[in-house]
Amino acid sequence: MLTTVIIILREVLEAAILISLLMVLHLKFRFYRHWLGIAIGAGIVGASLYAKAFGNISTWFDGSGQEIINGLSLLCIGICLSLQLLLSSWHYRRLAKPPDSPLPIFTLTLTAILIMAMAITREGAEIIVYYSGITGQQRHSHSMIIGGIIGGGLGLCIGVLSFTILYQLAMRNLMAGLSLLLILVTAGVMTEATQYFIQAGWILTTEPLWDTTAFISESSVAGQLLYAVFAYEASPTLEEVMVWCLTAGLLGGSLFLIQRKSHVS
Amino acid sequence: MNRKTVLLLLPFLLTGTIQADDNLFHLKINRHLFYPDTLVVPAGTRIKVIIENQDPTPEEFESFELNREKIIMGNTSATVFIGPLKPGTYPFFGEFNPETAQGKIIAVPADKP
Repeated sequence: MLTTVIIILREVLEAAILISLLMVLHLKFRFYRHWLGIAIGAGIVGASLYAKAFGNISTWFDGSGQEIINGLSLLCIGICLSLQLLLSSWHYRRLAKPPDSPLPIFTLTLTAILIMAMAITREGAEIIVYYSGITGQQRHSHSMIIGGIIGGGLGLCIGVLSFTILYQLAMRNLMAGLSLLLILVTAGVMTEATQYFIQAGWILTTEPLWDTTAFISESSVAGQLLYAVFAYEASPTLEEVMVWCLTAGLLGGSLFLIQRKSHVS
Repeated sequence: MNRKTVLLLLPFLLTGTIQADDNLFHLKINRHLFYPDTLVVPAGTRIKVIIENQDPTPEEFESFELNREKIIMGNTSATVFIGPLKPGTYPFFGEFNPETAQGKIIAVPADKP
């Protein structure tokens, strides 16, 4: 049962943290509030379709179809998250008001829907595939179901906790905290995409640069939670480190430029 | 980005796929066990592992040390590129059946027999 708890917790946690960050942003700024329902609906449909076609998709690109689709989806999520961060910071810092013209609201809503629909599609499909093997293992089916409920429940609780902590912050501290979290999450998403392309053989790489397993092992609870939220790697390659630094640097630098002529202290 | 730039960048994109002398290894999954459970591979070079899942249920090949995870559907095969690895031992497991599906990759320096 513990195996199932951890598997489902990891899948749910990734999506739950993203939802909590985006929901805080959209509720505080009073963007379109109903995007989440659309995103969840689209995600569930996507997950069912992806799971059904999993075997077929895996044969694409010389047997690396799974990696390429996941990598491209993560790249898209990373770009959408960057747009969320930069657009909302622009309106908060430079214009000191929520956007009133339709284009930024449309962009923020559309990118939020895309982020969550793709995240739920990917994580949901893995959960569906995991449970698709349940019919052949009647002995374990009950513990797998209960383990899934526990793992999913834990993931949702952590997401709700993260939302609650952020939501009650004052706007100034909220934007600072949210910006930092979004930078870290986006950099992690781009690094995860890079890793998929490395696994598919599309990017040549070198030996890992360092190994922090002695400090935080990836197999530990902390390591698994950090992996789920920030794509923590104990032994990253040069390419992964470069992508992480580039993403974090570009986003951080852009936020700095936006704040330089800020109308909000 | 004009056409010239795209043509210049194209070789960098393709270098990942054109690798005539990739070291090729095979793993099988049967009754939630890996066969062989130990693979000895050369260190310092990228290897290609073809994993054949002979069980009817899916399995997820995963390794924290190798930074690899891939779902392999029942009665299908999958390809995973690993490395280059420093010399050492790298455990892997089947995430869906971790109690039984366990194995390791041992990377040895190329000059060792």
